[in-house]
This record gives sequence, C-alpha cells and structure tokens, in this order.
Amino acid sequence: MGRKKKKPSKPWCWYCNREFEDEKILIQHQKAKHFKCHICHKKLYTGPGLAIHCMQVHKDTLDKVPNAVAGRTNIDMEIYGMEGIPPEDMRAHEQMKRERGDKEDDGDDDDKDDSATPTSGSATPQTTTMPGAPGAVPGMSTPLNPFGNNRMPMNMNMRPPINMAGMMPPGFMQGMPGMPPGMNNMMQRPPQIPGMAPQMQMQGLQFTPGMPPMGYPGMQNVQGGPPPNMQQPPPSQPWMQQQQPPRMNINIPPPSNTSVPPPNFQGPPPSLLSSAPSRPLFPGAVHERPPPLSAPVGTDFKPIASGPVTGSIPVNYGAPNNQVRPPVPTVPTTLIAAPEQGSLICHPSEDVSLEELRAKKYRVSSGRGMPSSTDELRPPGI
Amino acid sequence: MARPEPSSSEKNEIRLVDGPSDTISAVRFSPSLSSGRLLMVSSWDGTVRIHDTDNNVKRHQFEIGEPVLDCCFSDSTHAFCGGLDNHIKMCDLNHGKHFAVGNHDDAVRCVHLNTSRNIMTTGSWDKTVKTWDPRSKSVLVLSQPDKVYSLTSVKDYLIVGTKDRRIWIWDLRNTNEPMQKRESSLKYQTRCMTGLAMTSDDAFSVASIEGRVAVEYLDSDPEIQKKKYAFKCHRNKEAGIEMIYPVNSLVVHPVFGTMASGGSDGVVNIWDINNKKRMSQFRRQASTISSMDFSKDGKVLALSISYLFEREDMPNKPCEDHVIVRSIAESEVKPK
Repeated sequence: MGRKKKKPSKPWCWYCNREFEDEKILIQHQKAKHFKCHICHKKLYTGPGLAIHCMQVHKDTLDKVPNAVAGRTNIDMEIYGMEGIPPEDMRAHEQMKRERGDKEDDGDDDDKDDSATPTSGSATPQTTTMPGAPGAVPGMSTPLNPFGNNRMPMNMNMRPPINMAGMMPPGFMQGMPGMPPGMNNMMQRPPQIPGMAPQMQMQGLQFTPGMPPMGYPGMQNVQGGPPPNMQQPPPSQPWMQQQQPPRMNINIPPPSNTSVPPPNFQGPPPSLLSSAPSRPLFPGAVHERPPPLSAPVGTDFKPIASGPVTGSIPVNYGAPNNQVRPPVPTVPTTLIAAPEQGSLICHPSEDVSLEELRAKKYRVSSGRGMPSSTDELRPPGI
Repeated sequence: MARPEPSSSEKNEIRLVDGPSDTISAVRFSPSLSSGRLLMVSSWDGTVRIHDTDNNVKRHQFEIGEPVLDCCFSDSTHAFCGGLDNHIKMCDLNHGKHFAVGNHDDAVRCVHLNTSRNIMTTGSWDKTVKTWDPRSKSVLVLSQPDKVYSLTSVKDYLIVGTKDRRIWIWDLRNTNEPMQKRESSLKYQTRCMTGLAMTSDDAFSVASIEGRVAVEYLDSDPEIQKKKYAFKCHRNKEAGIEMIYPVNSLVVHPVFGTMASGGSDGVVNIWDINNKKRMSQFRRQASTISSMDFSKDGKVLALSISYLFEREDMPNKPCEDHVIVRSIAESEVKPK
C-alpha cells in the first residue's frame, strides 16, 4: 500500500493514534503496547502474529489488539510501524492533523514523553474515535491510551479493571509454564462450556436470603405443597413470614430429656443411642427445630422438583422400604467440564463431591437410607 | 494414580499405628501442646481417634458409629465432629465420652472453629451452616446457596464454599445476611479453602478438583481485587497424558504463614503466597492426601493417605489408609 507518499511528517500508531518522532520508536511502541502477549509477555511483530502466538502457545483466542482505540482493534490487520495502514485511515489522520493546524505547538511534548501519557482525565478513551471519520479523532495531543503503565495486562482495556489484573502475575511460579488458558475467563466464563452451569441457570438457583433455607425441613417437600407444619410455623422463626434473612438466635432454657429417638427412627447405630445425651450442650439447637412432621418424611430430601435446579442429581439415599418415595423427576446430571486435550481430571465425571458420591454408595450398601434425624431429637410433647 | 515409591527420604516420617480401618476424612492437631502433639483422626469407619504423635500411641477412640466427615478441636480437651448421621457430636477428651449437641438435616460435611470469635461452625449438605457459640449456648442457622463443601475463616469472617462454585462470606458479628456472595474464580468444583492469615489484606485461597488454587481477597475494592491470582498444581504427566488431580487440603503454617496443599496425586507442596513461589515439595505418597494439618508449633505436618475413589477406573484402594506425621524443617516452610 502506498506508504511513502502518504506518510505524514511524523510516524503514528494506527492502533492508538499516537505520534512518534521516529518509526523505530513507533515499532517499539507497537511491540510493547499492542503486540505483547498478555500471558507470557513475549513481544510479537504484528496483530495476526500475536493472535497466532496466543492460539498456538497458550490455546487462547485473542480477538482484539490490546490497548487499541475503538474501531482499531482488528487483530487481523497486518500493520507494522506505518506499513499496512489503510489509505483512508491515512487520509483521515492527515486531515485531522491539518485541521488541528498550528495551535498544536505543544503537541511535541506529549509525543516525546512516554511517561507523561496518562495526563488526560478522559475516562472513556476507548469510545473516542471512529476510524476514518474525519475530525472524529479529537485531541491528538491527548493520549488516547490512559494505560501509560506498561505493566498493565494488555488485552483487557475494554473491560472494567476489576477483571483484569492480578490474574496473571508476571512470571508467576516456576514450574508452571505459561498461564492456564482459562485464566482470562475466570471471571466471565463462557456459558457454553459443557457441564458448566450456565449463568442463567445459576441465577435461578440463587436463593435470596429472604427465602427460607432449603435445608429447613418443612421446605423439603416443595413439590407436594406445604407440609403440615408449614401452616403453623413456630414463633421462633419469624423469617418464615417476614422474608427476613434466615437467622435464628434462640436461647431457651434446656428442656429435659430432649433426645429420645422416635419410634420410626431408622436403624440408629447403638453407640449413637447410647451416647445421645439427656444434657444437650446446645439446648437452643433442639428448639430451633420445627415441630415434628406428622407424616414420615420422604427420603427425597432434595428440592429437586422445585425449580430450575441445575447441578444436582437425584441422590438416592437408599430409601427405607417402608416409606413411600415420591417420584423423582430426572434432572440431567451435571458433569464436570472436560479439560483441554491431552489432560485428564482424576475425578468421577459427575460434578458432585467425592464425599457425596461415596455417601450415596454407602447409604445404599448399608441399607440405612438417610437417617431421619429430623425426628430423632424431637422434643417430647410438641 | 500414585504408585508407592521406594522409601528414600522417609527418616523424617512416622506412620501412626492403630489408625482407622477405612478412609480418613480429616486429621486435626490439638491447639495445645501441653500434652504432646495430639492428633485427632476422623474416618469413614465411624471412629474419631486421638493419637499422641510424639510417642506414636493411640490415646483414645470415640465410636461415633456412622462415617465421620470432619472434626475439629474446640479447645485442648474438647472436639466436635460430624458426618453421615447428621449429628454434631462433641468429644470430651477428659472423660473419653461423646454426645450429640445438635444436628443438621443432611450429612455434616465441615466442622470448623472460627478462632477469632471462638465459634464452632458446621456446614452441611442441607445447605446450611450452623454456628455454635459455647458461651451463650446459642445456635444460628445461616442459609447457604447450596450444599456446603468447605468452610474457613479469616478473622471474624466465615467463608462458605458450596457446590456449584458458590462462595458466600459472612461476618460473624452480623449474620443477618451474607456480607458477600461470590463465585469461585476457579472454573471447577470447589474442593477446599483456607484463610490466609499472614497476607497484608484479608485473603483466602480456594482449591478445585482441577489441580488449581486461587488466592482471593475479601476486600471488594478493585485495587485489592487486582491482586488475586491462581495457579496450577498437583498435575503430572503420565504416559503422555497430563493427569490433573483434585486438591483436597489446604493448610497454613502457623508460624510462617506459608500454605501447604495436598492433592490426590499424593504430593504436598508448600507455597509462599506473598511471593508467589513454590518453596518445597514433599515426596509422593502411595495415594491421595485426603487431609493435612500442621501442629501448632509448626514443626510437624500430619497427612492422611486415603484413596478417595477419584478414579472410576480404579475401584480398589491402592494402599491401606494411614496417617503419616512428617517433621518439617524450617527451610521448607520459611519464606526467604
């Protein structure tokens, strides 16, 4: 492309509109500001070169040139120094320079001093220019790149700073080649990763503090309408009605003999019975419990059917035979996301903790089912 | 998976006798050194044992009955434990007795003492955390977004890691509602966490099943948040495939503030969190490091070696469950 004849008096950077005294300096600037790998800090020569490096070395796709002004972020542009700048951008730049005319005598100072760049208070440098729009490149003397600090992670100037830094400490930890490819995405994971709960569903899962805790025994029966005790919430649970945060602070003198196992308690281990005390250390713990359910609680203690619950699987706690299990709707098992090729995560494919998986097997094999401890410490006479 | 290696440098290790007969869920040292370095060991065999690690003798054994998933000393003579029977049991070491003090509606996964306020906390798969204040004998129930997988503290803040990578942070001085609701910065299931006492800003680390540890900061100020980072660990190339192991345990050295991580690869790494350096790596054990704890003087590290059935293609334990107590040289844990 025509370079010499359209070259302005001073070389300038297509990515950030800065002017330089010398094309060598410009190239240094581009390598440091626009073609530096944010992961290993290797300086490449062109935008496509950087993209290929990131893809091949770090398996990371880069779609924007770091620190470029809006509209100039195209990673596929082959620009090196002043070479490769589209003629129309060249013309726009010339034009703008002419318009600025002689009032820009002090412009030289800004251009020379790299450390003086973050002078402007312009909080929205990325939105200032559109390429090719004449006169739309305001304030050439105002550096458009507020990140004068070279150590700033470079690929992220379009994002709020909270996402960027800290994730990739330079040269962090010997013995850890490169940074993991997922690093950039740590805060904004693409929801399409298989097995990862999509953002939308995560929202669905979010219980507001005002909602009753899911572990509250009375709430476990969600799909079957309110359990009997829901109509008479004990006075010690005001949050049930008032949508208050789930908090209970009950401090009631200990009732006597609170630990009698109910008759329908399934197979308590002998030691448990013998050790169940008549002197509870935390009498409050007994009282914060709801009145006992009038009907035996189903073993399906999970609120699976209550909403868009993802990430959970119908856990079979090994139902005791004499209890009626409500049908458990099949919820797709969440699997852990596959790691990158050539790697293997030593974990069962289900995204459930190792302890839960083991507990599931244990409860099935021991035939105990889930101990219905909600009944076990039932205070007598309630 | 981990293979037993020839015992070259095992002079600094002792293997405890009379250990549990099934998977070891937790090892915890007593906060007091007055009666030697007492180690509590909880297990899926339904016991909680107290070992004198200095003399390698078992002092006592509590028969809980059902598998115990976690345990924690509350003071030098009392400990709490919880497990699949949904109960929170208190073990009295003076009298060798244990009794239930409360319960959850599902298995108790975590038992953790907030040392700043001296409040025992328990996390359960019933999606709650309960706090047990021994002085006021009051119990608080804190609702969590999902099943609790990990509990830790930084000062007065209780950090709750749940299924589906949620992390809720509670201020124990005001538990009306969570102080912060976050997601783990790691992409995979939260496995364990620990508070980092000796960083300049309040921080904690989170480990996932995918061989990775993140260091996160409590303060939501963007400047502070910039400092957070994550790193890979507990990985191993085996026959051309990179095996990625869960990180099961994170503990902080009580004197130097360095952090130990134990993984399903059987390896313990010691990290200098402030300088982002690995300081040392201990020899590979025969199987998974399921739990760890430093003694209060920081001179020994207890490791439980227990296969957690991480691999679906390996249904049998590669070795017997056992506890190793390893003496720690200062050079291994002291930041330079």
